[in-house]
Amino acid sequence: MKLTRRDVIKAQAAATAATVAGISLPASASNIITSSKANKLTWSKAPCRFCGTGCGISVATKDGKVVATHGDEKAPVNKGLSCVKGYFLSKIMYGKDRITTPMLRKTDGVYDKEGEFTPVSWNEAFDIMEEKFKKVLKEKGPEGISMFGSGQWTVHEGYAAVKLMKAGFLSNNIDPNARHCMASAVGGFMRTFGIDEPMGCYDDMEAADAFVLWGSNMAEMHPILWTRIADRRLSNPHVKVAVLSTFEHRSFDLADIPAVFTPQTDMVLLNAIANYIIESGNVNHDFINKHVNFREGVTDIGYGLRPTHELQMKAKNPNSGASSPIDLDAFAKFVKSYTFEYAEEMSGVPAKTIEKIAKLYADPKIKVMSLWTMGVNQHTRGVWTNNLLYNIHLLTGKIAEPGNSPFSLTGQPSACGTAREVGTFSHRLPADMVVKNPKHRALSEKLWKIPAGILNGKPGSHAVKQIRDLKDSKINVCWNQVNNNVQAGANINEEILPGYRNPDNFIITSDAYPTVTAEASDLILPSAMWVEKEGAFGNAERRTQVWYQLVNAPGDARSDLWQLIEFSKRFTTDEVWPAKVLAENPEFKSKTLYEVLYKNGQVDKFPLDQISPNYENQESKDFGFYIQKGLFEEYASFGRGHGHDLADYDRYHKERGLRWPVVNGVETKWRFKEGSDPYVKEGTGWQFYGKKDNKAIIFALPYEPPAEVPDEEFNMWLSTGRVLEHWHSGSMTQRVPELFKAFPNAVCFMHPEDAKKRGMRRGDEVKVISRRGEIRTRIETRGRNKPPIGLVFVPWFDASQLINKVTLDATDPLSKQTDYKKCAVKIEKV
Amino acid sequence: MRTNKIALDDVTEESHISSFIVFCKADKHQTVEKALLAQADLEIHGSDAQGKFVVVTEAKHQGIILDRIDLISAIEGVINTSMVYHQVAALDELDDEIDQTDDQPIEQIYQPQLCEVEDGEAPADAETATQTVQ
Repeated sequence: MKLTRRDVIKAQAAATAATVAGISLPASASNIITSSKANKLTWSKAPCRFCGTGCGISVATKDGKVVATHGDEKAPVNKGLSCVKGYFLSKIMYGKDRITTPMLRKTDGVYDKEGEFTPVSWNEAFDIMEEKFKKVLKEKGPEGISMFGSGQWTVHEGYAAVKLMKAGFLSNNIDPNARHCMASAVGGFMRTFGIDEPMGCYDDMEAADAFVLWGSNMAEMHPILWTRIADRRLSNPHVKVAVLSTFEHRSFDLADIPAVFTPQTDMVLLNAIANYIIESGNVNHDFINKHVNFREGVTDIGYGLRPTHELQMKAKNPNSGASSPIDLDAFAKFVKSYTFEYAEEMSGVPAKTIEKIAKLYADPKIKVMSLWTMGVNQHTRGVWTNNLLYNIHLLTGKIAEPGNSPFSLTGQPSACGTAREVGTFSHRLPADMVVKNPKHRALSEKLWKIPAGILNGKPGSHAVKQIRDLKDSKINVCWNQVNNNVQAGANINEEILPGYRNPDNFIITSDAYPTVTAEASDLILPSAMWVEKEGAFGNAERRTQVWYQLVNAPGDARSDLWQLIEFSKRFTTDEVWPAKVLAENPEFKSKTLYEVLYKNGQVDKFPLDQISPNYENQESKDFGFYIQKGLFEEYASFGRGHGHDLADYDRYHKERGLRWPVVNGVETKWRFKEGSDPYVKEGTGWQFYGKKDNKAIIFALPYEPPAEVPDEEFNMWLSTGRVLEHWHSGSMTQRVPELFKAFPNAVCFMHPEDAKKRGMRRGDEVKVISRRGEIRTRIETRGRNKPPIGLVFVPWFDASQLINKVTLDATDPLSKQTDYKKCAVKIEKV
Repeated sequence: MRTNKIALDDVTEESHISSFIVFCKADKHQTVEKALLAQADLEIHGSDAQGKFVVVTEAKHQGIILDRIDLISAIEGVINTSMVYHQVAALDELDDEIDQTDDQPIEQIYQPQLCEVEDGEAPADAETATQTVQ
């Protein structure tokens, strides 16, 4: 039989799918695939680079390019499956407009803020950056510079960035765009448990009897995890799925208990469930007596707006997270007014439906998993709402065991692993430590081998404040990496663009593609992406995954890691550290930041021969040592022995990820529970060891209204969010033509009756107008998203529409995370 | 709703070969199989009695593959279509004949080099537990 290359590739495609499906193919097929030399590909593993789920992907390269991918059938997260985003990973690096050289705005050959982008060498790019950084550092000190990154930084990159900013430039002005998606989740964890990230893991999805989605649209946003939940539901008739949201979306297809609620009233529903648990006698008294404290939080805390904003001035306790101890009786009294009737009146969800959901939590025989993402986090009471979710799991003791799991889902691939665990926030240090705490600073100085007392103890400017500081000329240099803030940030017209185009400022953006942020900057640096570099991500279930560099980046594109570390060579301690510190520590005098931060005897400890001979490693070869391993091992020293233990770096190359804490080589599936978490002492049952007395906290917190509600003029709620085909702001997926085709432009989803009332029809061009700005878009009254009367939904990926011109930059006063989910708008025909 | 046409410059000298798993209700196996076979450009490479099919397709553009998946999902009785494998190849190489003397089992090539972790490792000693930094 004559065979062609096509036959062989098809046979390979079939064989891979058959393995995942558990189907055996006819013998003739396996005869073909034994001839596979004809399709000689080199296969390696990597986590998908798109979302926080952390699917394992097998990646094939040929002649220096990624040519094939498939879901890794041995990956515990996705078991061989792939979603639309992960399916075409082979294409993301090969968009036509990929940036391959640094680009500087110039007129007549010199830098000019109003000039045209002109290709320059790395040397020239670093020259102008050096000049701007040094000028600002001299005039304003470390407060005048900033860096804005994301949960798409690899662990190594985030760690190198935090070290450069906090230990090098002594500036805490570094924040990730994870501030926009995960800060409230972090705040909730720290407040309730004293330690970040979920106690459970994805294994809960095969153990739970009930799933409750709080605002999350998993069918579209986390499709692989949704497949696991759908499998559980369809093969076990007793399993129930409740889906709560402010509008109807695809996850409702699987819902046994659907509920559409008025924005912000999730807080009412959660308190009503707590009240029901108490009144129906289902409090787990043994559990709460041993493992829980009760506290009442202060109220009327404002909306995280500028201090001069009217709403902010009216608040009694702006930005306060204070609380005082109470007991179960006081808590019961506090939630007593949250009856099902009151909850129905506030939320619009029928009391009978609320009761059905409440019973899933109250019934001690039902194992329940709660799942949430941006609906809860992008909320002016986001931290509170996270606290309220933990309340109902703690009251019943349904936590930290298989199937009983409050689970905060993640958006970005390493929001957990990098942004949160490494601590790339303006107030944090690695391993949940904070800059404000002198002990934490001292420990960090010791592990970083830098002079005692040198770290800056004042939290820096967070994401939203950085933007305001740029506009106000308080910050004059900003370096963006792996994010698209001009598209993703709120209130673009009044806050972001004025800051970027402020003549006092110099804005640098590292990206693989010309995003709107890159185009609004003064210097664009070409970045290597995904498998063009060695990296590590940490997913939503604490799983750390590492991959090798599989191909070279095109042209002069370099990883953000290389960019950060190469740039550090241009500064000496004499230029950026206080003279007093250097006088007391003369051994640090006249050293480059590269020498004190990266060539410090720790990061450069591992020689090049420890790199796998089968893979490239651009940065290590350039710097002369195995830099990824050195950075990882130094970083891991922060968490080992402190509840954040990571395995040895080399082990991760051989594993499909491990969930921390990894103690004595064994990963941890359920934290805080005796038997599954090595940190919990025998005979205790549970220990919430993030808190000194090993007890988690149930918080009494009321419903407080959102910053803006519809009125006579601005008479609709606006909610924003994503669609599956465009993860995040579309800067990558819009490069893949068929994803762009699938959902080319954002539309305004509206209830047909609302459209009729306004004399509008499907497809009409309209203006969505708020008090801050307006966009033009088209009405969609059918399709995947069905808003209730009085609410419109506009996806936020479309660079040509920029819905965030319209949104309000109200934030959670505690987490500083922006509430993109609700503001008041009016809709007018164009 | 798909409104954008595929831009002509996106249709290159490449071809895309993909596989997916189609799940249907077991009692619909025969009708779904018939419907799949009736659809142009789809090849069924295997199936089982529980209602799973391994389907392979080739197209000049990946967008066409997504359209075909949509058509499959619309077949009555189909519950879900899961994507698995995707490869891009140069169109002019696909018809090359293969020398079958270089036999090599595919598994040796396409498995990532990973060591297997042994199950049942002893749980960590609780004595190693200490307090977190916080």
